[in-house]
Amino acid sequence: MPDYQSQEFLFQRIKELLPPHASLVDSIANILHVSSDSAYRRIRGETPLVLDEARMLCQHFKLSLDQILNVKGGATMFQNVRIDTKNYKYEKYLTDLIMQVEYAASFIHKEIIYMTKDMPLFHNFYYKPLIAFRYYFWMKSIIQDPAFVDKDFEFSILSEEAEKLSQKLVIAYNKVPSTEIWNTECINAAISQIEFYKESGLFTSSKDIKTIYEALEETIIHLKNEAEYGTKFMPGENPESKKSNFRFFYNRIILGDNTIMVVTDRVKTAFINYDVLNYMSTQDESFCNPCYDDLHRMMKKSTLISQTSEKQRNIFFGILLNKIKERKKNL
Amino acid sequence: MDINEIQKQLFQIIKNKIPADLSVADEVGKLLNISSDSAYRRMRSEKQITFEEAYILANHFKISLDQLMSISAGGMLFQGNFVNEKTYGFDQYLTGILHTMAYFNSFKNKELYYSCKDMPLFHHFYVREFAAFKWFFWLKTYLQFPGFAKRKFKFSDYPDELFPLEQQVLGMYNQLDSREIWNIESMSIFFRQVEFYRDADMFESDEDILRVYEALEKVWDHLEKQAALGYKFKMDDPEQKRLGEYKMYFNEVLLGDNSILAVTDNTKMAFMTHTTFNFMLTRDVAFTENMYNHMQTQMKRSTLISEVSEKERSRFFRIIRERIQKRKEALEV
Repeated sequence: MPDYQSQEFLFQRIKELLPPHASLVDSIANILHVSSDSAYRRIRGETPLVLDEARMLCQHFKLSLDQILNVKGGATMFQNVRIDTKNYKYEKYLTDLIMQVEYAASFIHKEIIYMTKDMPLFHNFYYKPLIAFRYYFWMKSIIQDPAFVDKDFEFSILSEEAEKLSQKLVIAYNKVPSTEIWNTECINAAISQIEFYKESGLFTSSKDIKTIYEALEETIIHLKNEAEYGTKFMPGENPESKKSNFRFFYNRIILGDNTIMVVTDRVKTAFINYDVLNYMSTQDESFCNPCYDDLHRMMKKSTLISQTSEKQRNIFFGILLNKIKERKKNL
Repeated sequence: MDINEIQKQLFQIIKNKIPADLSVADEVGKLLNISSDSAYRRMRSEKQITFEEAYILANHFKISLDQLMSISAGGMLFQGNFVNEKTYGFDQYLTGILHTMAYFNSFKNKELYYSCKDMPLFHHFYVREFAAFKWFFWLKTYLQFPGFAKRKFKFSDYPDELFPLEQQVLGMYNQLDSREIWNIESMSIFFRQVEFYRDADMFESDEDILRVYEALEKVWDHLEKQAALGYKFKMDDPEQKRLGEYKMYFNEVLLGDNSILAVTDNTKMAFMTHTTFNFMLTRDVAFTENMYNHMQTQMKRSTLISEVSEKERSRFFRIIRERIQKRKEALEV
């Protein structure tokens, strides 16, 4: 029998993609409009696939030929959670996120593990001035929305709907037990973004900058409270009425990469961050299991400062608050 | 597009890649193990080529079949290994990188974009003391190899065979044109690591820490020279013979994520860092194009500090140099 190795790879991949009850032969016969017999011969490598047939299969299963032919096994398939910058709607982005978090919350067993490089998205959404700044920064610098090119920062740019959705997202996140691994560098990006806009003259008054820094300060103080009680709540809520669902680790030496691991009823999903805002996800166990182990190794190397280690907690949040205070002094 | 058109295009691309004095039919015939006549029939689309034949040609001439046939995949495939003590050790990790770099160097045009969260991996391999410390740190603290659990850092533990391998990787990297997007914080974590080890009594003495800082200074001086010239050269080369191009960007707003994009003659490959240390690779067209655009945007928002902008370059290098100096002064030596 001739050696049609790449053909074999292709069918192998397709087989992995089919649901367990579906027949490979029937699927191939259907897509290629050939008899089951002919489909069999192709799968067994007795009849060579012509290029056109390979194209039909790849387009049907959304498979990349370049990938299949270069991959020697050990590959992981990721789904893209990319932001469509052309038809981007901030409100829709938030709504999608809320749905995802609420979906995770609907399981009996659930956990989110967050290895932070920057302050996790959710924590930007407690206080309005910070929500407004985040929104402005994303639209202007990341999404590069044309409407923001010449726009200076004003608190009024934030729509009421975006504000509500942002807070709804935190409320959803607060319901899912989570573990966050932080480093004192995690706040640097937020600060340097404010500073960059300040130096670029995008604020109309230094009062606005002060207001944003104060909101950031409030946020850190709120986070400290959450860590102290080991639970997530909204400002103004009584933490004592909440279940304990928040673990906060202080990591001194490794800055994370914003990797998120969601565990729901024994299924692990890894979300890998790229290009600042985008994520890709996989449930492939050969990737998720070592990734999960790695996160646990990181926890072991870190100090748990929620509910315990008051002194370490004070030191950690003291460092963050000092960084903000320094900047406020320069205003 | 009609498959006959696609087939014609495929052979057109091949024709452009073959030197003018060679016959396309002969070359294709040789590769596919068929007569020149049969090759001709395929080139004229009288006979459809098989998937296997398309693969052999695409692989040999490095042509993207996805691009050719406008396939857009739903998922994205990534491949990579997790470094571990038993099945994929640090030396294998390095050898893997070496092979990948050699592969890039086999192209005529090749360029590497690096979005730095930390100092790019390759720069750790210039000076032995620096390489030794990072080797130990990676294995003990990042990867937590059990064999390192109770060990302190000693320069003498650094395996002899490792540095030549790392230098080989560096040599390969230095032949490529590269663009690195730095942030002033890209060195912060390194300082924290040294300080953490000092606090945790993981160094034998402050003299050892001094050696690590001095090694970093050497690397830092070399990078500044390269940035000033706009090209890479060997650290020990007094003539500073030009290797790959070196473009350095200073980004004040975003700290990168250690992702790397390789752009070769006609394909792009993206390397994503995950779990802090491991890499995975994809050739997914939509993904790599997106990353390419992202890198371009980041560069636009950064200051180019190689060759030009001497003032900004000096400032960037000075800030880090001062941080090293301050830490050296705090040592008890």
